[in-house]
Amino acid sequence: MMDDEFGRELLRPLLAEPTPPSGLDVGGVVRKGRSRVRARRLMGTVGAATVVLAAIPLAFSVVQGAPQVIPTETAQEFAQVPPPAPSPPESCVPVRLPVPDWAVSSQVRDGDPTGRYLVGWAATAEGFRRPLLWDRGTLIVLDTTSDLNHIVVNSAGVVAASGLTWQDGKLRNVAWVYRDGAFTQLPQPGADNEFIDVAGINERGDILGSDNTLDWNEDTGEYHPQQLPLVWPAAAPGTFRRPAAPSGPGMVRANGIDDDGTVVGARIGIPPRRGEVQETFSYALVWSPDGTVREVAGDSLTAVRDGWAISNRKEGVFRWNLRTGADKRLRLPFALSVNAHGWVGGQWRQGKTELPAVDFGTGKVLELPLPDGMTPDTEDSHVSTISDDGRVMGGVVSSGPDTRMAVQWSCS
Amino acid sequence: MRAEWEPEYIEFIAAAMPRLYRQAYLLTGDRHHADDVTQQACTDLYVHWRRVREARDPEAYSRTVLVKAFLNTKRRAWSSRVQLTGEVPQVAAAEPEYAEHTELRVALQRVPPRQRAVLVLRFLYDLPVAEVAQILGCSAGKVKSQTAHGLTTLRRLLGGEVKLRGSR
Repeated sequence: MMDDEFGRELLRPLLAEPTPPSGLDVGGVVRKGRSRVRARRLMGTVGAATVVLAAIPLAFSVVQGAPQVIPTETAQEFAQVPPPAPSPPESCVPVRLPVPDWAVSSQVRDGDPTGRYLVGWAATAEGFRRPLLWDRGTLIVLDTTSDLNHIVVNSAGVVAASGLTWQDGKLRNVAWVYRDGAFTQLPQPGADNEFIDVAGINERGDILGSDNTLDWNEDTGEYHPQQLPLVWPAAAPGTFRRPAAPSGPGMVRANGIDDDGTVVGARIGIPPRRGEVQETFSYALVWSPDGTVREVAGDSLTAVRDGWAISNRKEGVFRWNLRTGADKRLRLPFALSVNAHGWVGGQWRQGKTELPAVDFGTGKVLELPLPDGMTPDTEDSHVSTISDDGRVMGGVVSSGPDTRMAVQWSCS
Repeated sequence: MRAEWEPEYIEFIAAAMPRLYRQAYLLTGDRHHADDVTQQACTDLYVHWRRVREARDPEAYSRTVLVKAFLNTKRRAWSSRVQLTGEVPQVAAAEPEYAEHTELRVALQRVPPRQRAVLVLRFLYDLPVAEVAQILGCSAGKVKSQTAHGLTTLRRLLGGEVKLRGSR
């Protein structure tokens, strides 16, 4: 093993050398990733086409005039939502939601419990995600240049979102709220190395999120991510509070907030680091309205509505009744949303094909049809939101390379 | 990449990027090339995030992706921009704080990429032969022979008589 000793001794001095600073930033890396996904899709369709992807700077514009409202022919179809029915819907009609001319792809990410509002984003050719709001099917383009990572809405039409934006010469991740035609940036703990994710909004307007910070650890020479939940209470605008973090290692992520203030989420183990073999772990958490937090069965709770929470586990999707503590395994393999009746929106798989679907928790799954001219694809068609009466659903449909689009289903 | 996975990716990359960049710098010896390799690796991790999140050891997975990005970018573009010579050039000390071991670093940069990857993975990342073999998709025997070839090349580039800095 002469080589080993010689090699080690010869090369080790390089470890003591300082590393010059990198020119990369997380925002740029994420956009490149998105652009590559898009480029791969285009290449899949047009073969050897050359894709030119330009980067443009981001700037956060705080309320510049009224939002742009684009009325559409389809608006009429959404004007009359049928009255609530006790039984689950049996059939749904899909409609492509209107999007701006420049949109390369679009998605519905959330909707309010009444089904009136849907929110999502449209991606530009450069890979930026711009926020969109649909009011009974009429598109409202929210005039901000922040590059979204999540967006939510409640039945008062209050929109909350988080995303990357240039501010004071730095790329920052900020959270904002859009209410009565005006944007307001939400206060945040303030560290420069902070990432904010908005996760939910309830009917009284409390906004839920998490913030990530990267703490430099001198001993390991690495950044260690820390994550904690944040609530911006509707009752005290301009302030935030932190739900109590449970003790123990890992990051704490909040995923959903119910109307009474109950929050669901998870405590997640960080990825293993050099020299340590560390198992990743995840425990589901529930914060009661009084602020106490407890661990519950399962590894993560991803959404909550009126006492129903959902959990995507390795073995499948579970629906949990927070009032009784009972949980039930559903037939869907992947879920994103739940309504006041415990009906769960997500994705159904047939072989490698992924289809938007709803699981009513009764053993019945309703596959949702795709708009005319679209065929099922292997990637990312799903239901993102389901109204309390089950009559309006929003989601994403993809039928091939670069065809992801925002869709609304009207059901009866 | 599902949109709802992106926060996970950002979280992972924000924490992993300094480490990946450091590893890329050890492989490349050049900050711009290290940026290229790190960017490429991060993009590959984005595109294949489903596999990363299902991986037993995401850090090991990301390291493999980084090394592959290094070997591929070397083949794709970097070689067309770098003139390789048999001599170790005299390097001006333009950036004194990074110049202490420049002779060694420049010599390492002249070692063929695959041999260099083996040397860096074994002696700087401190990985066992079997793991290096797995990353490079070759046999353990091949790793050992590449180690020997790499060290011979490095010795030759440093001028035959290599003095080790005993205490370091």
